[in-house]
Amino acid sequence: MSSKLGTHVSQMVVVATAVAVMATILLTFFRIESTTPTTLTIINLIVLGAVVLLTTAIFMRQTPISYRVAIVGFPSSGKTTLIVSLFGEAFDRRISSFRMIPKGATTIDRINSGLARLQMGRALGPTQDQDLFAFRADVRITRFPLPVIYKVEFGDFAGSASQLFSQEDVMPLPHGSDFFKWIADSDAIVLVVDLGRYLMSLETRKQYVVKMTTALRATWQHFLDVNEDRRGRVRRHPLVLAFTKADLLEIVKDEDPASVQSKITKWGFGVEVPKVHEVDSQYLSKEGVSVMNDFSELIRYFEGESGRFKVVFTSSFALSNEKRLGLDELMAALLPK
Amino acid sequence: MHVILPTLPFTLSGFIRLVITSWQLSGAFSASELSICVALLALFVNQSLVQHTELLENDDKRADIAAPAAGFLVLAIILLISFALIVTLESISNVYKLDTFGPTQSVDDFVYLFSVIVVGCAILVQRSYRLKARL
Repeated sequence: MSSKLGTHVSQMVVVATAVAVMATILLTFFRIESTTPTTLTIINLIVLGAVVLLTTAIFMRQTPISYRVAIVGFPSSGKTTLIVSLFGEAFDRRISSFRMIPKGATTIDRINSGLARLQMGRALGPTQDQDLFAFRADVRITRFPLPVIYKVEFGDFAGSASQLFSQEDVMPLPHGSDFFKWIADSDAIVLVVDLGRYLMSLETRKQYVVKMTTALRATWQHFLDVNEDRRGRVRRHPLVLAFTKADLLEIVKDEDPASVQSKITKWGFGVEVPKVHEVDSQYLSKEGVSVMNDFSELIRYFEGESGRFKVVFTSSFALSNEKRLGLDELMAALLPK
Repeated sequence: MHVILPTLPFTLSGFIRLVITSWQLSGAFSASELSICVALLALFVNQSLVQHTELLENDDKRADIAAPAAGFLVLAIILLISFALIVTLESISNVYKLDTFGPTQSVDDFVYLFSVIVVGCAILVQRSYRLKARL
């Protein structure tokens, strides 16, 4: 901690003071040399502009902009796996548009242990209430004239907490809870739909679609409600409807319902995870259209509500062009323009 | 709000002087007022950072916040010293009837430049830690 403190204090105080002192000496020198007030004013403006540019460049590197991404979904819908896989893709440089560096010992430990677990073919297991945690990363985006660094936090919540947020009829909303406040103040929202539950059986599919449509619409409406004073700005925030476990769409292909159910139970909700494999993108796109048709009411609603709404199919185990399905697209949709 | 409120006395008094002197820029704005206003701004930011609580706790967060909080305290102290220095130098020049007193002008320049940097830092820190002004 002491080294961090030293770095910040020296950067903020020493640089600011040194720059101001040097500029003052410069101005005093020009005041002595200058004969006309106009020349002095121009010199003043030039020095001031240079000081502002220099210090902005230095401090913007040290004080990245806070950016919160809330990932909301029902229990075991793959929220933690999605976050861990996003970091994994960034480590493998498969997400090319920006650099993502995990920040803080806890985040680094959780990400690496999560990735190791997935590589060993074991599921991450459901997040517990005591695990409420924000994964932190510095994301550097190249912009003109200076690159911008965002301090991105991915809020990982137990699915049971998300349920409280979205379903008023289940339990009273935990309006005072840290979970609720965090989501209310977030800059981007990912609403997760679990394709495992959707594909489980044809009989319950309609019921699941209705349940998710109601719950996710209510989540968005609560989000707008608590942000009453900044609704316009909130509507310009990224809003992503992420269909997780998209690799399971392949299982439905040429399989009988009983086999589909057992495979989905095993790969979607079991203790094991599928092997990472290349998928038939064309088939998944076709199936994706069918899924989107079922959720068309919800999609239309969000398209009308948010200026930056996007639907993404993601999978931590399906590769498309050697990249994990939809993760690049998800990050591009989430980050600020 | 963090920035606007503490600097209001400086901008308001400057505007009033501008109106009264028929928009004569020279002498309208006071470096001593600016230094005390920006010192207060730095103190507000320091206090906001000290009292800042993270909703989702992360072990490394406290260290991150303690550092800029200390930085803003030092910036506030520098500006308070500058304020005292300007007032002292102005009093000296008034007592000894010195029309243009070099050291006062240099300290004024320093305050104007330094304040721009501090205000910029305050905006950046506000965006980085999501600080909210509470009245």
